Amino acid sequence: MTEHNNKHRHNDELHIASLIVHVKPEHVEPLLESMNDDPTLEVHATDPAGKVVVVCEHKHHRAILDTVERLEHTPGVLGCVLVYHEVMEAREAGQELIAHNTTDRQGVTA
Amino acid sequence: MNLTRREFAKANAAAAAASAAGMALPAAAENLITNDDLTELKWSKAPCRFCGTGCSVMVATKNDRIVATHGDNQAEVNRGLNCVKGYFLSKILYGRDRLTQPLLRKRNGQYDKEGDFEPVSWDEALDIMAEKFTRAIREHGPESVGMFGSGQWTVWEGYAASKLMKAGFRSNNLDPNARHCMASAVGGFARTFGMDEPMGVYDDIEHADAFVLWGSNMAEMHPILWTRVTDRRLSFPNTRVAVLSTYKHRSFDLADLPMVMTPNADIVILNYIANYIIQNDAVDRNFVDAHTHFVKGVEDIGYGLRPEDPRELAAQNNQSPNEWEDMSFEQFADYVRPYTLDRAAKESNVPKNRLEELARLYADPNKRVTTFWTMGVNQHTRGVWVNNLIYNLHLLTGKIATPGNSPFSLTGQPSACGTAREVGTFSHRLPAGLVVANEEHRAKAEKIWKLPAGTIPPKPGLHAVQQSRALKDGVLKVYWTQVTNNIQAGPNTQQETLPGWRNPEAFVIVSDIYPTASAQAADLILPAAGWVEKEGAYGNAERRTQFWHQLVNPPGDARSDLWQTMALAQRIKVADVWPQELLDQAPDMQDKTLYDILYRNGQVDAYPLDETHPDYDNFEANEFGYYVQKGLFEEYRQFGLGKGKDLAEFDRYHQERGLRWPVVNGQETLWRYREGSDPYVEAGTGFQFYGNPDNRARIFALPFEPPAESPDEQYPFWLSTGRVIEHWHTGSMTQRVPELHKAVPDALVYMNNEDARDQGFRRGSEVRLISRRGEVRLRVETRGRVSMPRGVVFVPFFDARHLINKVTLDATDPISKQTDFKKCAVRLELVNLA
Amino acid sequence: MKYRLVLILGLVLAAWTWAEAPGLSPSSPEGLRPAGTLGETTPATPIPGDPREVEREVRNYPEQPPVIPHIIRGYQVDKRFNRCLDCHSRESAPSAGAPMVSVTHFMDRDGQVRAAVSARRYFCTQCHVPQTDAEPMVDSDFHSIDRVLQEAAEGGQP
Repeated sequence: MTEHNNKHRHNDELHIASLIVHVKPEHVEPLLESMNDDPTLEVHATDPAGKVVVVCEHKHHRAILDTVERLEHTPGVLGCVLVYHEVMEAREAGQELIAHNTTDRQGVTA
Repeated sequence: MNLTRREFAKANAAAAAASAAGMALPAAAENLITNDDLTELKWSKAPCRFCGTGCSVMVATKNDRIVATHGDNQAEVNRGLNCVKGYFLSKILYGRDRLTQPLLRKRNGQYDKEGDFEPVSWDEALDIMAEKFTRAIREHGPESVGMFGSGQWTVWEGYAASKLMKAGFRSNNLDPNARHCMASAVGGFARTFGMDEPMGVYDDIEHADAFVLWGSNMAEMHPILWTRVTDRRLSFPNTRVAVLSTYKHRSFDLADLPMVMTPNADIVILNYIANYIIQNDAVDRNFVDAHTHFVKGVEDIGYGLRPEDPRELAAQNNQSPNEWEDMSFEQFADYVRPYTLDRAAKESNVPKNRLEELARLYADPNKRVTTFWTMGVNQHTRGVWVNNLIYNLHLLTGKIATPGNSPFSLTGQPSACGTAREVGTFSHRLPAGLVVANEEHRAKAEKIWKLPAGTIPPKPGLHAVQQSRALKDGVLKVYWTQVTNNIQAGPNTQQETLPGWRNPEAFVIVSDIYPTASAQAADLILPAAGWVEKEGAYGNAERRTQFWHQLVNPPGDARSDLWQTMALAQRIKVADVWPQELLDQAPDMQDKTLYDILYRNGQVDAYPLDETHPDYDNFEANEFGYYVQKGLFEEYRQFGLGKGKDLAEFDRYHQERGLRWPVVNGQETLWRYREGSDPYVEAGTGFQFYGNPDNRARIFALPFEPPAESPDEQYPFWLSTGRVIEHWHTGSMTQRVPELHKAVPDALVYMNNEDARDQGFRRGSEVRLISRRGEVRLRVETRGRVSMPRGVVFVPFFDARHLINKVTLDATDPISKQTDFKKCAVRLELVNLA
Repeated sequence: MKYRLVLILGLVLAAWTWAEAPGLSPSSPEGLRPAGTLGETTPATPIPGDPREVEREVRNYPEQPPVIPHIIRGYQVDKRFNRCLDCHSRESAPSAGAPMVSVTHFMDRDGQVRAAVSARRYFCTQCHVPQTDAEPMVDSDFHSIDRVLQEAAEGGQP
């Protein structure tokens, strides 16, 4: 496997992803409450009819899949759709965007 | 602004998810996501600029620039996916050599055919066009002017051009580059069903048990549909994929039943399968008796070459190739009986067991079969016949117009259906399936257009290949092409197209966004607006009409084709181009311009500016003072209402990810011709092929006939041209995307390794590829994306540095007039071994 | 006599081609095809090389699919086997030292997340392409989001 690029390790990455969680209307509030305690999740929009837009931030892509799985097993959740996934180097995450001339975000999305 | 990468990424992530969920983030409008505080990116939908699949993409703009694109999650066609070209759409408009001002060949301050290009104002450019068109029509008649358009025209660009040519200039010399692409499919639909375009939809993919690719490399040419086929095949292991081609390509990677056949052997195989279905009692007699009838087409129809060509002089029916007579089922069975398995295997070189397995897929009543085809069928001197014969298989077995049972003709351009076919920008057509040769059809068009009877000439105009010949012969004096690159894409460049364009008697105008090979051959170059630099509409291969808004402004003085067409019409007086007899019928038009009578007719100009969307620019509307796109579309829409071609109202399409016509009572139609699915089918009939007066589809008896040119001792190889996934058509957009260019920088000649060795070549050798018409120099590739059988070479046509069409033959299907780019004879000579 | 005829014919032919040639290769703007060469047969440059390993390409927006920074010639990717996933799958990526396919690739057409790569994403080269060492023929004026935002902040853009 010498052809492959080994220079990039995964421990210095930051993964940002967005999910749509479809949930029974009566379970929207409990779901929001359960996510309140999780610092890796942010709720960006809520439709009381049963849709919640969640953005999550993790150090490893596996954690995104774990989040999807965990949300799917939360009571009242009908499904969880992954929409967006972007990878950046962790050391760059706090940098102000405007100050940069080059881009090296390792983003990937749907 | 204090915005970190992390915050920016989160804002984008939230915006994408909200869009996909159809939810609004605070302060967001429909199809538009803003998050002003953080990103100020505006996301809007648009159909992809490339093939006929019609994927929808989300386009991010900021400060009048496109900054990103991604697959549209809400779009039924692609559900968030794009192919590699689609993912790089954001870069196609930003090649540094964008044309930004009109350029005219001049010498000593005057236009001169042999002069050098000099920048001119739009006024000067349009004035000389008006003068050239007017003088040609006065001195040589309306048949001395012509226009070549495109399946990449937006719906209203094609419609406006059609009005200018057919009603304004009164010339039917208007043809689209779609003539090179799917005219044979149109001919097949017209002959079998009496009505254009597929009965099925892409949803067939998720219902089919078997796919047959007939002369189509979907893996590279329709990648997103291929993802759906792949998904179906791998997720449902009993699904079968059969791939038939003249060489092995990427679609074979998914094939259960791979078949490489000898060029031109397809008709023998098709007739064998029909024979197999009959011999094995697999005919669905109830369906056939109720919904079809059998006909025998005329034979020996020629090759669409120049009339003095010996092959034309020898052909019996090249003057009347599109005729047929009734026959019985029994006569049909006798007709196909000689097409045995032995014969099919011998002539196609496909092993018998594979041919039999293919025949069984069609014959098995429990298998839902979807057949896909594109250029391997359509670019064929018997392309219409092959279309007819594919329908035969589906009709004999009743496998049609039900989910998963679908003979499906794919298209190569984003609006080959929506503009070229539906608007009717062909030399013999009018909108919504009407034809110029039919008096009632002309009368209907003249009525909708509010023009005097007799405005539209009855004689079909010059089609694509004839236009090149007429330029060379000095018959066409003024020629305008928009969104197409016929010097690179048309056949027989060296003998016909290029000498035609450079004929001192001809004045050639090219509208494009980049200096293409065609622009380089022109006399006047007009800088165009591309893709989302204008409001537009495309119609894809499954009858889906899709709209987009203008998202950014074009660079410099570049203007859309719509603006160019209408601006020229403003400069031409009706009295200067119409004969007195016609003017006498409409004295009020005497002092008007073509613009006044074609576009300021109380219909096209019926919608005020305030109906345009407040969040988007609309250059043309602002220039002309009314919502010109809406006016053109609403007038055009009148043609199809109640005729099975109903389109929805204009505003609805800006809200939807497209709708499949006929749209009746606000509902789109999935499967046509079937009761319960198609509102035009009467209750109790089951199926009605209502394009034909008897509501029956025709099953055609048609024979094998040889191609126009075959390899011989002097020219021992077959040449097939085509595409690669990374580049689209003539490469003018994709070769300016750095990543796509670096992926596939050059057109190569792909050939069999043993053939190369026999010729004394190796991979990388430079060779001259020579036909009776011209030559190109190319490097030899013996491995990679395709695997060639002995005796066949493949060259893609995207590369302007190597114009492979200098080599191809301008033989066409005599019915459809579509060129056969898949078969001509060439030889190879070594330049250096490398 | 014969010679003279041949000579005359030759001269006529030469004059004809000489007169014909500029007509078919008119002056023009530079394009992907060099200016003024339409009627000519242009030589074919050698097949560009495949770099053994290239730096990971800079991407201009997160949705851009990564290009393949290594040679893939001879890779088997068909319905039986996918060599790319041999290294880039969820299971193999850590040990192979290769980037794992994006998690978006686990979504099926209906947006549901699956345990393995979705079948619709199976053929990698529909989106990911290797790069040769060919130079761009025309420079691109595409600006990344960063650059556009920066220009906006500096007020120096249209």
